[in-house]
Amino acid sequence: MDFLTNFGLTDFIFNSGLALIGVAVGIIFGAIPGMSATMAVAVFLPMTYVFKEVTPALYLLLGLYVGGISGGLIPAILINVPGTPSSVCTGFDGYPMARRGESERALKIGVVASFFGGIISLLVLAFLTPPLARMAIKFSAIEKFLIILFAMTVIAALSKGSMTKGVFAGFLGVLFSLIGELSLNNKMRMVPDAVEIFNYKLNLAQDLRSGFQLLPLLIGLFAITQMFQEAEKGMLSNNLNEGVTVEGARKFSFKDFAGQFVNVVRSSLIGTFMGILPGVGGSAASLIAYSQAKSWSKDPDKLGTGAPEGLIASESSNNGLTGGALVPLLSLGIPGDATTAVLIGAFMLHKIEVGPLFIQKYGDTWNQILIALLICNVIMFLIMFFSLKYMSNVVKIKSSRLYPLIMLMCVVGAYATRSGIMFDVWCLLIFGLLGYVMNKLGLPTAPFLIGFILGKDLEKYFIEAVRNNNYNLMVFFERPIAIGIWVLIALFLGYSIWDNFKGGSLEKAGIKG
Amino acid sequence: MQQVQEFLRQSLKIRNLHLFFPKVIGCICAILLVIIIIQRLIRCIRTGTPFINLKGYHFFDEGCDKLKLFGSLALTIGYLIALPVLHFVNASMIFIFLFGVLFDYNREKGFSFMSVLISAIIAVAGSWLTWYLFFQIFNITLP
Repeated sequence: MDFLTNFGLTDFIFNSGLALIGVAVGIIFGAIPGMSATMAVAVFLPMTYVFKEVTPALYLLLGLYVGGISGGLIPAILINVPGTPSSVCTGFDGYPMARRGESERALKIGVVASFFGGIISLLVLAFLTPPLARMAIKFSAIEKFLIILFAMTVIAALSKGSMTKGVFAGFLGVLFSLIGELSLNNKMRMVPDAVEIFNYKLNLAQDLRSGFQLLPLLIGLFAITQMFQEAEKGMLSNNLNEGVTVEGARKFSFKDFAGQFVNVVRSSLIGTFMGILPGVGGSAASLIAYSQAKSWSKDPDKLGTGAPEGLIASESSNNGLTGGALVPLLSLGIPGDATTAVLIGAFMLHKIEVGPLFIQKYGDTWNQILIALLICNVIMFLIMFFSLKYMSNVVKIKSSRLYPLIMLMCVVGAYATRSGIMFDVWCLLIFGLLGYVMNKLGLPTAPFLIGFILGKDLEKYFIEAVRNNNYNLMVFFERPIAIGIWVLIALFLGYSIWDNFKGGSLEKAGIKG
Repeated sequence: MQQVQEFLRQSLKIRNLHLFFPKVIGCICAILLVIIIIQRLIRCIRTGTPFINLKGYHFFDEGCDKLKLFGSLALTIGYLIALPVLHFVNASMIFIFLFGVLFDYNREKGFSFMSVLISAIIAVAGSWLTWYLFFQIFNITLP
């Protein structure tokens, strides 16, 4: 036993066990339409309170992330309903294959493509993050402010096809993050002193001293909002189409990947790149990779009729997101997507600041993240490839049975945020309703969350930059890196205006963020 | 430029510091809102549709299950009110059961005994297990 402890084997086995649980639960969340990887991570985040270190929490949460993204292919192929937005194109070819009786083949092609996508994005994460972080260490408050502004611009350029609504949601998130006390002068802003409702006095000045807490906000925004949306649809159960068989005529063979090397690498890199851009949904990655596969295909007419090529493009791109979205988070402190924004909560719980100094200060945690992602991808592959018959039954689970339990977990998580403040539990409802209304008005919630996370830093770096430079706004245009960031901002703004004029190609394609 | 510099110097004085950024962001939000309205106005003029068209407007989805939507909202509010009064296990058992019954209710078939029984089992087992796991084993504060 000592031998095992000395070599950290017990920790490794324990952490791998957590990754296994994470992946298995993530697949269930991903496979049930209406639930998502983000929701899985948000609901399970409070459970990580029990770990004294961040590493086991990361194994569990990354498992949920990888499993959640991968599980979406099951309903997309079997019932032509994508389990997650990132599987939007999987059904284009997967479902026709299933209709031909090749569901086993389609599912296995999807699983293998997902595995490749995950591994390629992991390599990009491992090699791109350290140099990016080394560069970011040299950043002063000016560059840090501009980088956050750049992230907000990218949200505008690529979120849901509607540029103005995306950027409005982002700045609304920033505004919400400013509520509470400013630590620089210890003064409150945007908080009424006391509110009386039905003779019940609400002490908002006390509850909101440190502002809205991230955890209740994101659980409300992603779990409670989703519950209301599913309730509106009537909590319909997903009946597995009886005409589809898991074992079919043509069996899977690795020969299906012959001649697909370029497609796999291209699609995985597209997914990874889309993951790096903040606020871009997985559906964009899937759709762009699919359209690229079609343009480069020798036989483009076959795509959409049950060609493995299209399935491979969609699945390798959406798993490419996982590593890509972690690149800006771990090098700049900017989350690449909604799920990695939720992961920030895990780092915050353990008082770890993600950003340029992360790899330098927490080298061990950084290595563990890479190992965790590798293990999660391997576990995902093993679970999904060898137990397809059983995993395909996941689509039959009624969401009406899971949502009451999710509600229970949400309450536990929100209450534990500050060890027992009921206001945090009420925030679940506040942000659940806000997310529901935002969706109705066509305002994307992912930019809102990213704006909320980055808002306080945006203010801090602006004040620092201006005060340290004699209140001269020209400092934002003087340093070479700053000018480079302005060029990038201009390029993305130009692209978004051009895209808007064109009629929002992403929106036309039916992409949701 | 010097006027801007002086304005910033005054705005960023330590006693006013907390108000400066919220005002800036509030203004940006207001400007963006105006742009969204103008964009809609232009689109309406181009397509010849009225700016505000309440006829045929639905805030809720077509075929919206209002019972489940408003029921879940009412149950959420009820659950949050009941938590400090009845405490975690009691409030959760009652409300998780009600959530289960509501979500599994079928308009055509009505309530089935099995559905209600399963909801009850999930509510009791879920609430006790969560309490035992988080409060007893992991020492996490529960309402």
